[in-house]
Amino acid sequence: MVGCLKIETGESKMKNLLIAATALATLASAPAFAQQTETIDLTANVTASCTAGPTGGFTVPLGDITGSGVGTLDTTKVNKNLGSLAGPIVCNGVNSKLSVQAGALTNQDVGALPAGSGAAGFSRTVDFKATINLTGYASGATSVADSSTTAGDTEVTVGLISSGGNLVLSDSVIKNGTTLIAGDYAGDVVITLTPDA
Amino acid sequence: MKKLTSLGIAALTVVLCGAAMPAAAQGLVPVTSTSLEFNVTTTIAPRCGWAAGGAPAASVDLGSLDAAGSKDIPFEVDCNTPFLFTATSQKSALVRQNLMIDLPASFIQEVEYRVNVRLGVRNEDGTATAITETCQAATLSLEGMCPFAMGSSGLSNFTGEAVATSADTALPQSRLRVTWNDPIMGGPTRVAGTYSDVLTISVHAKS
Repeated sequence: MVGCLKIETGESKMKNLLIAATALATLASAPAFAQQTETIDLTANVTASCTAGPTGGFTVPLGDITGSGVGTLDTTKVNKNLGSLAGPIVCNGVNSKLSVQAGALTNQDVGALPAGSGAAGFSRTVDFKATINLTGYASGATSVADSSTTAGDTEVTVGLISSGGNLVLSDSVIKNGTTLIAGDYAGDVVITLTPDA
Repeated sequence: MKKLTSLGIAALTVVLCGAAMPAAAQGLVPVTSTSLEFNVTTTIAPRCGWAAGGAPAASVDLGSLDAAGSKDIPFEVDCNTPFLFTATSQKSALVRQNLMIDLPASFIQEVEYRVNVRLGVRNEDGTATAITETCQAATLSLEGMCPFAMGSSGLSNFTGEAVATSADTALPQSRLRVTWNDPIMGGPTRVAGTYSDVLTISVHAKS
């Protein structure tokens, strides 16, 4: 566009110069951005999880649960604070769940109740209630209880947990009878932590 | 860039060469030749922004903060003039959405992170290089301590006199790298959920 132009006539010369000047002016005033900004939305996530002490369970011997009469139940032998659960419990999900399921103490030596009307009153089962109490921080519920008289577990939302806990047995009672059949009895308490963000 | 600038403002001489015509035909005073000389100047407007298709992603999922990690966010600068790069962090950290109040010290809802900037540029001496700098997000506030944080003038003074044009394919790739650490052993627990921050990055022509 710029360079040596051959001029033919006076009019032509002026015209060519005008064209050149116009082109240069356009170049000089061409719009150009001198700044740009961008926003970047960063997102990330932290997974909900729970940790506790050693898992797999532990055994608590209750000893002889017989009362003073034959086949009676000494409830004080069952209704106990079993103390702290092993290790601290930590859950980082605000909707974390804690459930407990009490499994009745059941005679391990006698698989079924004797038949016949004369057997009425005998029982091979002791029901009880199990309660977990959280002793530290929880953003939701701080305890949950379940009775072996009903099937299934009981679950509550405990949310964030940074706590210890203890297990309390209570409300023990002979199921459907008055006399416990002799033998070894075993029950269980299943505690479950379910992380949930 | 000075080379470009020099080209831009250099005086362009246009020599117009008149054709010698017979004096009689023109009815003018006869001359053997004539010339006109014009000094023409022009400038190249400063241009500074993202290259076509080179803007950083508007949304970036960093993934899991359960363990240490990093994420690269590439971009491409197109600045034909020395430029400034600035970055600001809206929250100074990755912060959990739906913040809970009154949490004990055993939990946290913020995750610190670092921003490493690498800018591929062409220096005044013609060499291509990568300018890098790393800052904690917490320093990417207005007048923060980071060299590429936005100062009170709204600009940083990070990139000196270098340029970076989209046609210069020999430049190192420009990018942001976001990095975060493992949770501190025995320290507070990160609350589960979605975390976020907003980074604002700019390139400005240096005037």
